[in-house]
Amino acid sequence: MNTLSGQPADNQQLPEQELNLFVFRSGSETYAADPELVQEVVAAGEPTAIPFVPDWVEGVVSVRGKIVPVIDLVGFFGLESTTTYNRKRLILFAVDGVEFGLWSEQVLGIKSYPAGLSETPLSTLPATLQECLQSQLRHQEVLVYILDMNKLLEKSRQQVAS
Amino acid sequence: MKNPFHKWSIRWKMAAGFSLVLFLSVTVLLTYFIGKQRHALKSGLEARVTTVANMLSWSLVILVDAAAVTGDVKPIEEVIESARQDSQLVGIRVENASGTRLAGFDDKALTGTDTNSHFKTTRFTDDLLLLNMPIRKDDNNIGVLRMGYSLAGLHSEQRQLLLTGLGIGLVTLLAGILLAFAIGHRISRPLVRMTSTFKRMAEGDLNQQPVRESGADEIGFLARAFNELLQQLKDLSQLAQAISQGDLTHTIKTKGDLADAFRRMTASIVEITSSFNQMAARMDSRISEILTTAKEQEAGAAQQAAAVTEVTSTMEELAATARQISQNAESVTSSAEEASRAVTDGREALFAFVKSMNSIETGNKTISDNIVGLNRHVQQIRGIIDIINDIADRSDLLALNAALEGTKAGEAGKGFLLVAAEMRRLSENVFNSTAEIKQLITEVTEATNATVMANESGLRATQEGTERAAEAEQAFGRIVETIEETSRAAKQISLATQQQHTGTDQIVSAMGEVANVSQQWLNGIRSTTQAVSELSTTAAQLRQLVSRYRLGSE
Repeated sequence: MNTLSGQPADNQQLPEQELNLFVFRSGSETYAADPELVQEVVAAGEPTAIPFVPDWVEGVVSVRGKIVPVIDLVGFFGLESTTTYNRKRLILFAVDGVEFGLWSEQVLGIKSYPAGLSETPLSTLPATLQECLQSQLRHQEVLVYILDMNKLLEKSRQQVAS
Repeated sequence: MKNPFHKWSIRWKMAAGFSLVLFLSVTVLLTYFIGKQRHALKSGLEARVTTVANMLSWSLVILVDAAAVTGDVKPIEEVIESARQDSQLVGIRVENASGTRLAGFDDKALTGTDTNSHFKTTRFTDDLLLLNMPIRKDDNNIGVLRMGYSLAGLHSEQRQLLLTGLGIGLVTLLAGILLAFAIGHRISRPLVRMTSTFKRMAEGDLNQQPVRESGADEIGFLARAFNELLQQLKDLSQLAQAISQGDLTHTIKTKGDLADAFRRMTASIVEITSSFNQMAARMDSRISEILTTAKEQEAGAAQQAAAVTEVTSTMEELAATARQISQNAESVTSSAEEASRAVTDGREALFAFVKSMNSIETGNKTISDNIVGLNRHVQQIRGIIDIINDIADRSDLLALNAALEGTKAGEAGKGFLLVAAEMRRLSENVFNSTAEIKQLITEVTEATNATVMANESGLRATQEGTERAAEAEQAFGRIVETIEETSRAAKQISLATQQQHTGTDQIVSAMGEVANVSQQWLNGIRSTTQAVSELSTTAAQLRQLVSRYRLGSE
């Protein structure tokens, strides 16, 4: 706690030096999101399938009485994942009052990154992924895609509607 | 009488004869014609000289008459001077009746004796023609005119004639000799060829080419007759050669006594040969019959001898074997006693083995029970670990959500965040430890399984061992019985083989005698076979001799 008490002083000297992100792995990629948007992480069971939706909408689950749609991020971004990943954790997001779940293989938790690591995403990435990206950063040899959850919600809605 | 020319060839003889005849005729002709010529020339000269002398004497009559009166000889000299124009005139002189020289020149040789002749006289010396012409007046000789003419021109003309004659003669002679050579060659060439052919024929070489001579004259006839004779001799020679090589099928077309005799000879050889062949064939079949029989006998005898030898050797072997058996039987008896002792030892060892096996079996069963108990405990541990894992997982999730809440709480939740992170690390450690424990449990399970399997097979082996030991115990009992029987049988064998040994010795000596007799028999048959084989060889030689002749009918 003593170390923590010293931190605000550092922050004042170098304002917005640290970037707190919620980091998780899905498929073979590592993603990050604003921790404010993450509601809860649960160990959910099999989702109930629903008709007339794209493949990447895997169905709905019930979490504490709420019905939440579950999105397979690998399928949505059209990333080629030869091995089916382990759907171990379901991360529940709440964006503009809309709740939805993303599957994760491993939740790395909340990580602090030094600011200034952001890079411009490569133009060779799949179109959907590129559009939903806020930026990307590289830390300790790991490439982390920082997702813009508003855009992701918007994009997924468009695609479901079409 | 020895003719010195009999060694000359015909052409040389002809050439010599021709040349002799020609030479003689040319000589005679030359002599005759030259003599004739000389005579004619002399007569011509004499006539010419006489005419000149007559004319001169006519013109000199008056002048000599006048000179006798006047003594003036000048006109006479003028007259004879005109006569000197003739180149052949050597000398001239005019005398009066008394023989006194009136005029002349070069007249020393012209002194004549027949001064008072009423007629003209001529005389020839070697190289001169001397002429005396009386100068007559009224049938009286008033003087004489003497003239000398040279014969040199005549001589040279004659010499020329002689040379021409000789030249023609020589050419004729040469032509004659050449002609004689040619004719002689034409005659002698075929004769020479025939002679050399005859000579080679006489030396025994009948393989001669016929003489080519197509002329229709006597030489041609002779050559054709000679060729016919040569052909006939060749035919006969070929026939004789064919017969000598054994070919009796050869025939000739030649006629004549000699050819007929040859034909008769061939026929009789054919007859003899065929009858000889038949006889040889009969003889051959008889000999081969005898040989076959003799060979069969010989084979039989040899077989018998071999059989006797075989029997003898077998008997000897039998005797040896009997001895061997006797010895073996004794050693079998002693071996049986040793075996009996060994079996007793083996039985004791077997009892000890069975006892050990039983104690091993009991131990194994205890091990098996303990391992089954161990396995049950391990499975219980596995269940407990699963529960621990589940609790750790839930703790992790709780910590994660707590961290989220801490973040949302802002600065106030920062301490909370650290505790949550620590919790997550702890649950992670739990995961790792349980994973290690699980790994260890798996290894323990595998090891116990292997032990159980090994133990079971050990159990089976010990049970099997116990069973085999019981069987071995029974087998030992049977072995003891068998050994006793063997010992008894060996003693009996030993006795029987000694008796057999005596019997075989007797058989061996009897067989020796049989072998001697059959060997004598075999020798007799062999000498017979030898004699017959020689006879067969002789017959074969005879047949080979005759088989040289090929008969027309075959």
